Amino acid sequence: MFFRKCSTCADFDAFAYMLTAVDVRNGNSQYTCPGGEGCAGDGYTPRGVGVSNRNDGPGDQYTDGYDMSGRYYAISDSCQATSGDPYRCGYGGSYSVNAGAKHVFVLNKLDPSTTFGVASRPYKEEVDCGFFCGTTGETRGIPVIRTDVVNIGDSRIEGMQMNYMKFTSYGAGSP
Amino acid sequence: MQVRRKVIEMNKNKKICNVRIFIALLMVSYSISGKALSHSGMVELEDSDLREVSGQGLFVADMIRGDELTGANEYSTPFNFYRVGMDGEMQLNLNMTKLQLGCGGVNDFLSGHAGCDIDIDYVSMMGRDGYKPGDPQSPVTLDRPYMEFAIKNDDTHTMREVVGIKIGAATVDGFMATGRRYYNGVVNEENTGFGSTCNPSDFVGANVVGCHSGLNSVSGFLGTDLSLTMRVKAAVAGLIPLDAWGCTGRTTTTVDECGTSQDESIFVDLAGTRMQSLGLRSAVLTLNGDGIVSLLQAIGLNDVYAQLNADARTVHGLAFAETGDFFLSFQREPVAYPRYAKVSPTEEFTEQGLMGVALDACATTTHDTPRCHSAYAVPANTGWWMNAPSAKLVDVFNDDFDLGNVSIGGALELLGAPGFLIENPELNFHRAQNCYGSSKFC
Repeated sequence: MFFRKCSTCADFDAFAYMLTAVDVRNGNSQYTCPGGEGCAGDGYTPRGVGVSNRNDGPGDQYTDGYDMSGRYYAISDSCQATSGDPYRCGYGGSYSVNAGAKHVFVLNKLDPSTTFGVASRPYKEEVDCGFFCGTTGETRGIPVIRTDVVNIGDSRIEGMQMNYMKFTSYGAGSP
Repeated sequence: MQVRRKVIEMNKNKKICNVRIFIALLMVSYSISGKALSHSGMVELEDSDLREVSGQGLFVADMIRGDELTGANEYSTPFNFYRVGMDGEMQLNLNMTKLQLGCGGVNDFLSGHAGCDIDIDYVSMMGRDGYKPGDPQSPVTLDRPYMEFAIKNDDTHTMREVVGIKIGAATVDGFMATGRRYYNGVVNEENTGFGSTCNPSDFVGANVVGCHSGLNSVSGFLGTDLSLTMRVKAAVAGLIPLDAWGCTGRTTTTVDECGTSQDESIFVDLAGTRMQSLGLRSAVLTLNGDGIVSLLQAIGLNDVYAQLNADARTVHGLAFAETGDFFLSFQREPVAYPRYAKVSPTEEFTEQGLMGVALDACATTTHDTPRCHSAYAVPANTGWWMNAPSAKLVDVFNDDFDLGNVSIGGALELLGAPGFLIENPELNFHRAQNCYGSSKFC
């Protein structure tokens, strides 16, 4: 199934986030967890997203061990609920697509994770800021696939059996 | 000049003639209708008679702008939403052997392997009994089903685009049962890619996943309410036996120490594309039992911590209890569709007098996230998306969960957050039966 833009329309941002799981329990001492990629060692890496093919987000990752060739963008996260935003504690973090040369970064684009109270973590990239400065991280924004056509795949329902169906129309004055 | 005058006179005569014909026809018509009224005995309706007449359109149509409701955001404002709905209630009971939506396509970039946005084996939509599946013939109820189109550039006719299509209902009430359980020696045909070996005597790990099929991947937003009760057996350092009931969340069973009130609930918002696991960090397990556990209970140290990471295939059903704003959609870019009620979940609970009562994160003032205060749904990702803001996965119950030997290190992890990791535990979830008529589904 394809969506194509109209001939005079602007390109659009096909964009998805892979996993956001937000634990919304009351903040208390049980929240001492690191989220995002720090959870990988605990078995919380989603299947199919290995560390080797994943870009890590901001923080120390952009200096050492930063994997520019990785396809995936995983925002690392950490939290201390007793002193910060409790919603950042979860087993996930936010994942978004970074499709190599096919993606663009959009500054100030709303991170959907903020819907759940998770602080936005725009992508940062290592830049050379001069002889005395060395390297620093520059905020690039949220990576999206900016395109004029997108294939959202095939669909099928196999072996469907409708056992029962009944439709009742409401009368006037029904709530 | 004379010719022109003649033409004007002829036109005048023609007009007069036309008026005469019209009056004559009117008189004839009046006399006929007068006779008809008197012959059929019809009488004029009074105003009071009109009050006896009732009727309501079966189809309703609506247009909602992406910026007109509370909580408008970057994923709602570029669009106008056109809604066509039926003012009625639809009841369904159905089975599907395989439901695969959005396979391949752009989201393969995201998951890194070929897959589907929504991929579920052996799906049954049926009624519920509390938070458990109902009888095989029981129906799931969709209140006011509708379709909605997200339109971009709506004000410019030459650039108008359909961006997404949504099928939904004001509320859904029922149970979605998924998957199958396998036992020793039976080939798990659906799990050939991961954990296809089933070992029923295992309590954790890949061989547990091999005994289950069902939720292969899910894309969408699930506002879940979780709880479980387990009878946990272990030997700490191979020496100290542990046999205790552990619970977390609000549970209805009386064998554990967890209660049933709203403030005991564990609400977890799950959202994303191609999700395959369900995790809970820092779950406080309240223990009760004999021996060393009773001693810990006596001194108030019977709360331990665990991390659960369960493959979604080990879960065989979700209950939807009057879940508002249920929908299935597909779109080319992220879209925040308007909620059916056009008000935020918190406003809706307040209007219904259910704040502090309903078992939903948005009915609290302590667990509510920003999505609870928006009249637009959580942004649906590119691809297929299922929105179920209040899904119940409660009272998961396993009365025989043997962890085997737990090292001293593992025992220490139990004492503090995030806790002892239990990966792919056997939740002892059984798939609901929905055999009906000649169906060989179960």
